[in-house]
Amino acid sequence: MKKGPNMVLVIWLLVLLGGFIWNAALFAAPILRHKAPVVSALIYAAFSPVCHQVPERSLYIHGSPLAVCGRCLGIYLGFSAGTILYPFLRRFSRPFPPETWIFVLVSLPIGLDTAGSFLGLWTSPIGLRLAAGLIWGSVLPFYLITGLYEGHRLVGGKFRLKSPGETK
Amino acid sequence: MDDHKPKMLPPALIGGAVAGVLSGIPFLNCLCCLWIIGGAVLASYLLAKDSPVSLTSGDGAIVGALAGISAAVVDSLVGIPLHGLNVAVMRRMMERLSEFAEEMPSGWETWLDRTGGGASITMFLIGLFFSAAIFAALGALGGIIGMSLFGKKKAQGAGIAPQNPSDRQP
Repeated sequence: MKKGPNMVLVIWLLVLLGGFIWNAALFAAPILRHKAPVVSALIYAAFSPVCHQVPERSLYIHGSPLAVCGRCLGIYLGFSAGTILYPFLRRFSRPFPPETWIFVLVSLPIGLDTAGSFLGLWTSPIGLRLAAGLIWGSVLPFYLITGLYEGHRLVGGKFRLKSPGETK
Repeated sequence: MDDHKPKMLPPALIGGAVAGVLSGIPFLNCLCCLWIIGGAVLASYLLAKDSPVSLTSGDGAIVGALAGISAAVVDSLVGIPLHGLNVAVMRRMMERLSEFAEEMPSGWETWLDRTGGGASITMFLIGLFFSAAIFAALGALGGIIGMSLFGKKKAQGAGIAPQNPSDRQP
């Protein structure tokens, strides 16, 4: 019986790699600003559709802001942290999304902070925005890995990789 | 595909339109990627609402990705009439940035003037392509979250059983 690679493991590795590249790009933008200004500008432009990039709400490296604001940075770093934690909490068995109460709980800090800032009730410091983003972002890979796995099954598993629990 | 499942395109277009409009308007776009994720959650909700059967996270990923792509198109279209305003906001941001940053990249004012003169079709399409790719990824994430929140249906008699074994959480 020939065993194929575990599909959840493959998806986890892809998500881990994608998160790493994404986060590396956030830091590369300011670092490359003087060494490779065109590449740096392209990275800033690539992230502009998903972040307002307001300088006073961003963290700085070498005197230049990162490619996204503090809150977005927290979300993306939290995403990678959650991806690293994933195998310890779920292993590579068939994935399932977190329970609703967990999502509500981790969404509370970012929800309150965002709503308060949006309504002009307060202006939270970058550290708080970053922390709220980190908490929320850490739960996201648990959804993404589940969705990609189920999506792969839905599309038909054309690559015929072995799924957990699949006997053949 | 399951015959019981409703069509994905209408909810994806509605969720994408809402996300695209909100993320394209200056000031409102301060919520960054959360609009796209929110729009995809809305698309998932609309899809699940019309479905007699339980939907999987995979359904959420697909409808969310479609919502993300349509959000990118709407965002770009909304951006056309608001282009001048966006450039003005960008100029203000760059001027503010110059107060913080030690050294600004050379020629940024010229770049802004050129941008303010109107983007070319090629640049528009390249920007749309990148936006669509990023928005699709974020939309897929939002769609999966939405489906985990709204996708489950209680079995009503025989015939409608939960379709996603992964929904049976420990």
